[in-house]
Amino acid sequence: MFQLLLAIRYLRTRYIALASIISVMLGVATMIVVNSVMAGFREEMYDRLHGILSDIVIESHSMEGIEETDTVVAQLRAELGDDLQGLTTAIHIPAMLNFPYGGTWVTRHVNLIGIDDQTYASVSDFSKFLLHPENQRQLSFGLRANGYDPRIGEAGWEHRQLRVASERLYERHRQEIRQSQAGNVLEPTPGSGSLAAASIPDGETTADSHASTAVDPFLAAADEGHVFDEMTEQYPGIVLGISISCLRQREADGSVRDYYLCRPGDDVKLTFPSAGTPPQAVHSSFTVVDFYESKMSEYDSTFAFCPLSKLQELRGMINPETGRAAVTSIQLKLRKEADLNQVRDKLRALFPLEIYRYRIETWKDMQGPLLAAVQWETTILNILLFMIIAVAGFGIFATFFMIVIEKTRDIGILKSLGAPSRGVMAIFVSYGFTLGVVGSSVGMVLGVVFVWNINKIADWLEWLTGQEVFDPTVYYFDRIPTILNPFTIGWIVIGAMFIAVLASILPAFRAARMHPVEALRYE
Amino acid sequence: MNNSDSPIQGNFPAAPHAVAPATSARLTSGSAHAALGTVLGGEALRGPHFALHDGSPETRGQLPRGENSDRPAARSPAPSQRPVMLRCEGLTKNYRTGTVQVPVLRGVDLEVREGEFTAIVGQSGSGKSTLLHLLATLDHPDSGQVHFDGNRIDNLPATRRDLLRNKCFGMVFQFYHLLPELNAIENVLLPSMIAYGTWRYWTKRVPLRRRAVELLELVGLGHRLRHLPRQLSGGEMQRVAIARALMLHRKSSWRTNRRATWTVIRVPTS
Repeated sequence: MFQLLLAIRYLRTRYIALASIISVMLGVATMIVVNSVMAGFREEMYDRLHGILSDIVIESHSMEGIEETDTVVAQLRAELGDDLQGLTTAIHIPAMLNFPYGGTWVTRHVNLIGIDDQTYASVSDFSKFLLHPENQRQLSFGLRANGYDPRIGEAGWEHRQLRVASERLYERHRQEIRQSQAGNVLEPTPGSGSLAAASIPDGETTADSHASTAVDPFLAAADEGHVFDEMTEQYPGIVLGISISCLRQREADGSVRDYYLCRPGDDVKLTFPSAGTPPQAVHSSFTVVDFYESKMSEYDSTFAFCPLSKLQELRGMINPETGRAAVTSIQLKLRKEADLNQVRDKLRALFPLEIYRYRIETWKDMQGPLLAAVQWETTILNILLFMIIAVAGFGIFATFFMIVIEKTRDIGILKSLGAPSRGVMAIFVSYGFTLGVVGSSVGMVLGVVFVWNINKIADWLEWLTGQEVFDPTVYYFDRIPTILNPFTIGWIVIGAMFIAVLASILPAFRAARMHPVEALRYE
Repeated sequence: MNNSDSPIQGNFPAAPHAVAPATSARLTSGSAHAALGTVLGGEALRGPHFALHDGSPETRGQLPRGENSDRPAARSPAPSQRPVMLRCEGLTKNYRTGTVQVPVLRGVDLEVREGEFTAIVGQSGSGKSTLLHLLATLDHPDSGQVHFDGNRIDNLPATRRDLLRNKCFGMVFQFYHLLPELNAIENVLLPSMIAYGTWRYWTKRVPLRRRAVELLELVGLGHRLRHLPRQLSGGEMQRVAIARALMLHRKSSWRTNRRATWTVIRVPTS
């Protein structure tokens, strides 16, 4: 009883001890804020990664792919049963993308993915990341007339027709000028300008030899009997990751602007390896039909999606004898409750690596290093932050030692009145515990309130400092994502209380060990 | 046990007949300036007449029991026939300063009977406090024994000694030693808080509080229950300390159980 009374009385009369717990409070608040922001980022990243990748991917080692797709799919369906909710086949190959901009050819490395527009959306959140609302409902590789995201600006058939018209007009003017200068001596060479080259139909497939064509490396012999009209026709559709063709830049006035190097309705050229050994470079033209924006820069700057059947045809993946087309990956979507690792192991047992040429991985396996890095970052950060609380613990330790020395006489009195040593110890330990409870509770409230209002605080900081806290050229999030995990908060609070108690144990022990006569000597 | 080399020149014979001269001992030659009193039986402080601290360095002997007690004097046996409550034999204690040993007590024998009032008188540094600390089990003797109510107490484990100090001994210190954070009544209640756990204290809090108020009223501080020590004068603080020493010594207890009290009172030297 006296322990409790004295601990409370000391707490009420020793404000210096309260000051020493401010560091506990700040430590707890910081840990809660940092953890919830990190958790928010991580969750957002997980969501996006998982949205981009399907649950389980069966990938062929070779770029020639898996030809026996039907058998494998049948086996998968039999094995997984109700667990399987979606299945699609796809081709993943590296490719080089070229498109004209400002009189030059822009070249980008892309991961070209041939997808089945009917089933691809069933295994991931793919359609959610498309910019045209119609495509979000159902992807079509046909160019839409209009209705694209307004921030892209002009896009679709209208844009295409306008562009072609202006290019033709421009070319006609050039020719007229040239003719008037040369006095009709020389015939104008078709495709003499880079821009003009873009407007010239070059068919769909070319052989390697055309790569050396001086003006337009993609220039191909037009189909016999058919003249491709850009005004009314399109190449096979392609969906580009938004960062491939978009530059995000900060203006002098501080605003952030997006520059689109090409838009839906423009044509691009792709070079990719054919199936077979050695692979040959295959060139083809595609028409951009939409953009893909997952807000994961790695994907947005490399992914390009085209029709699976077209890619199979272009790469020569259709067996002329059997008519079966190969794919390089089979992607599965499982029931939400399914244990991915367990299913993966089951499939690995079904298709042993010794016999089959497939790699079977979950989305987490595929992103293992990134996820591990994030996890590691969080762990390190937590260790560092916990050290703040440990420093606070030393503050309590020092304060308590002072208080014990100050209270030497009182300890002597209590002992002479028959208070047992553990009772004296309990005074200081419960004092430390109370400080820990007060410090961590206030810290918790502070941290939680901070997290709830973190975006307002960020805005306010922006206003105060004139600096952008959340740079949109770096992050795709416009708000800071946060997740308050009660379990994490609980651990932080309990940890802080534990440290406070730990810091008070040694001074309390010293108080308990004090000899009553020594303590009373200075009377 | 007379030892001329000892700083304590007195002898503490267990003289059964002795009331005044034998149970009080001068600890030094020459005039004594301090007086220490022991009261057994708790009766000394009963009633409004607890003029125990008459301040004289020569205070010794037994309080006039018959006059102040509820009990008729005739029913009390003569002091010499009462049982011995506290006894020590051959107590020695040395303090060590670096390598030098400073002998303080060199074989002190003392016997105090129930109801007896004993004053220990001595020059400063003569070992009065050390003796009282040893008798109150606050310290261990280097040799010798302390007996309380027939049982040896100096070698008891710490928890038993704590219990003894809490339940059987009441101490009043020269400088009161009240806890500055607690008010008068809380200071008086402190021994009972130590004695009972939180829950038992809570269940007994009403009678305990009543007892504390009674005691404070007894020492004339009924109107200052909630005053902090710093708001009290020296004398008032001393009175609170006396009330605290008596807190766990209930009437019923000493009537039925004579082990109930032993109060050590240290009277201010001034």
